Amino acid sequence: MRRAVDKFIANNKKGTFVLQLTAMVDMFTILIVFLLKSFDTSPVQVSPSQNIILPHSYSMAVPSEVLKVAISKKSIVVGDKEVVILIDGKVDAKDMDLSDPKFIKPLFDALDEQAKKTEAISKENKDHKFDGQIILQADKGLNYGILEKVFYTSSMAGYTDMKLATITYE
Amino acid sequence: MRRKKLITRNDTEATFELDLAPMLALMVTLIPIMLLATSFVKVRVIGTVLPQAVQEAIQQDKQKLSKTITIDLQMNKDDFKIIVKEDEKEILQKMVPPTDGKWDYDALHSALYDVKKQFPDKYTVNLYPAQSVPYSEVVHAIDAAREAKKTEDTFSVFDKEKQKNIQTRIMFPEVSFSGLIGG
Repeated sequence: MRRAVDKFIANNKKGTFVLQLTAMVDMFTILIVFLLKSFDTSPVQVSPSQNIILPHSYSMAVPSEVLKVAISKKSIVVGDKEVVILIDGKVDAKDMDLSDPKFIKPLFDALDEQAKKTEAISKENKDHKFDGQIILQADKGLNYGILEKVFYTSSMAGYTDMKLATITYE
Repeated sequence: MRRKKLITRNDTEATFELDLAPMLALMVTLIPIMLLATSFVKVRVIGTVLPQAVQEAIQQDKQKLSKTITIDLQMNKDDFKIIVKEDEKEILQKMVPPTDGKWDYDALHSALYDVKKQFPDKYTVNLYPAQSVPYSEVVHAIDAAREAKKTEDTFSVFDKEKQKNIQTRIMFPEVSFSGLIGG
């Protein structure tokens, strides 16, 4: 009888086992805390446009919800609409005003249309004011020459307050 | 004796295994969501988020009727030139020569810091970059002008509300791209 009991005990191995999850939960907790810290809570999200590498800056000012103008080496985009095609970062002569070498006509038309829209909205809704602000996303490799033309044309359309979009690393 | 027996019968283990499986399931769901929503590179704008007293000082600087001092920063092919004018008459000029054929931002910062010490009420710099200057270099120049370093002295601004001086590192937060019209 005694031998039978010993044999039973020796053969009685459990088919299941308990996983030690404590270390894994510890790791996940650290990961979640890190991700929560990196979580961007600003109400306005500005994503860098395609074909644009933004310059690096130490500025920590959070962008506000205003009209976005993106300048890559290939085009100028107002909002989501491509308005000017650039050739290697330069404006084609047909888009320039012959009498004014800094004036980009299609860009002015697009900005003027946006300004009129905003002014029309502000007549209905007094909280929505036209403040002439633009967030400018420009590729870091562009020369100031093209930016100067965009600044000039924007100011002609009433957009005089430029915010330059930059990237900052955590 | 009977009491001792009762205790022995109810004696259960003092430790127990926590069931971590639901917590693990939650974390496994939460981590991919947060990884997708987290941006490690953030887009910011070069603007002016400043203390109230400093903002008031900037407004005063803008509205000053006897606005005579202007600070111009010319950004050339590889160097900088700072010109301070009073009533359109040049009173100070500083050259920041290139280092290894490149723009020297540390020297530019030091030069602007000295100008700020001389003209603490001024907050605006008129920037004149050359057409060929890359945009990223223009942004670096703006960065160099914005704030004093932690190792440098701070500047005093009078806070009207608290009736006392406050210290700030802010130098030239307002950068105006000049030369657009008629330039």
